[in-house]
Amino acid sequence: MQASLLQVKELTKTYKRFTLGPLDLEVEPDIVVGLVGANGSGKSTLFRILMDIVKEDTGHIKFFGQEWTEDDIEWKLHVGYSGEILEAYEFLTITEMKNLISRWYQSWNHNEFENLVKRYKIDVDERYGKCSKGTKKKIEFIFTLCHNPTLLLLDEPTAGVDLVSQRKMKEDLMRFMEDGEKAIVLATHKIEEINQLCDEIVVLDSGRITHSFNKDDIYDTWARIWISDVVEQVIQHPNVIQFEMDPPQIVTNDVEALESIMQKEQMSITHIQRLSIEEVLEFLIDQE
Amino acid sequence: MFNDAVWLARKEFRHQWMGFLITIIVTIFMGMLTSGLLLSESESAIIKLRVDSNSIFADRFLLDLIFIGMAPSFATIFMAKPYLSYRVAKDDPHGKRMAVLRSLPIPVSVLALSRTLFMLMILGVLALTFYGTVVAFVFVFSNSYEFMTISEFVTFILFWFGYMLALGGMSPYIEFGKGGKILHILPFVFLGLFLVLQITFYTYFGFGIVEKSIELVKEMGWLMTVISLSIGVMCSFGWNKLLKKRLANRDYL
Repeated sequence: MQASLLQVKELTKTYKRFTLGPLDLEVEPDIVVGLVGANGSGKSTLFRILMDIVKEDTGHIKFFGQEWTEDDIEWKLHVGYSGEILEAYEFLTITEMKNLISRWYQSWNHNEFENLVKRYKIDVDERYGKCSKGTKKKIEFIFTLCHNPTLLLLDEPTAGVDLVSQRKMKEDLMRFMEDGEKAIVLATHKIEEINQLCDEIVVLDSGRITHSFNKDDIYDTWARIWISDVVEQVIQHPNVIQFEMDPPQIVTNDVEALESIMQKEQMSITHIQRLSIEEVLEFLIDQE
Repeated sequence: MFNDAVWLARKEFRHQWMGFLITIIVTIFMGMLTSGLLLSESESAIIKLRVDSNSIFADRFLLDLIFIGMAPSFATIFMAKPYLSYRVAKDDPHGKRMAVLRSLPIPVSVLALSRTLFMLMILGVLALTFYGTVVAFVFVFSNSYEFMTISEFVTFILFWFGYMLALGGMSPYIEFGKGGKILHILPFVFLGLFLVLQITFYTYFGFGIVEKSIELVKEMGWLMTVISLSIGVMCSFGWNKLLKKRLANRDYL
């Protein structure tokens, strides 16, 4: 069995007004993990800890099955990270920035870089600081791909990006996943990205992972059920996420369990509607 | 490792050439001011001090301030934006740049070494500029300077270069190891310490620290320089180790 590309155990980081973790996360090859959560839930902090930009208080991080010391750089050669940190070099042109970054990757593909800057219509002689937010995102995205990484850590890569480029980015990410050996952790607020790209969804709330599931399970287990009457036994059931009296209906994350209970209680089900990922995520993020 | 560190240091020079150029120009002015203090009315101010010490306390104070209080700043591009603007420094531009480098596959030891090398390069150029200006004014533009021989003067300069080296390593440590605010707080702390030291020294010995160093150089010769440079090299090494440790453990954002 192939080792995990990323394994996080009992990770914590405490600030004055925010604590991340304890947090466990595992990313297998051929999986796109969608990291979702409200603003300030800790998604960017998690990425920064993974990339050594923020130091964790406790916990263990393994990339490619190994824990690395601060002077080990092998794992970073295989990780592509995009997290809005390049602003610090806003005085450089895109070419100068590329020269600063590419030197450290033996596997840097200059042709790929040329192709991608053409594809995304980037003016490489423009200063980074003069670029629009969307263009900066595209530039960061390009930099993450050019050294042929195995794992991508992308923090809202399409935020502020035009629609055409968003489509191209999705295509590039799908192409990236084609060989079945790579993985992506994608922090996003966009439901289309989750629908089109992600296999697993991790919900982060106030620094904790509150839910983690396979995307396909959502269609099988989550539903809104209209019933003849909402009784106390149903309301108290742990799989009932929400209920309404008028008209009587419930939202559940285990439709099979609820159906059998209702049969037992001789309650009639008038209608069942499977929930979309967007609706489910709203419930998961809102309920916290 | 060394080549990587040199490459990074050279890149940093290219990124900051404008600030560096302005820093060199300001350093030349500081050198001119210092030589003006060493030479007054075509006589050595130091000689004059001995004759009438009360009248030029300010000169003596300024001389100490430049050599002790300001010379360590030759280890950094002190005319760069973060040093001139608190608002810029508060955003911690050094830390943010290091965050980018930390996210790349560069060993911490290379990052720390690149900052130390960068510091040494700046210190070398600025010290040369500063002392070169002093030498030019003292030995070229004046015919009456007889207080020190050239050999003594070189010994004197190297002695103070050792001092700069000892404290210079603090600059990259503060810039990249601490938040930007410290850049503006530390000079005041340092100035306070300098004042205490200078006033105490003057109260007990009756003359300035730089003046005393000239006397020691004359008495002890190259030994003073060797001791000073040795301490400087050891301190640079120590600051580099501290910086490496700090870079590996700090939060950049």
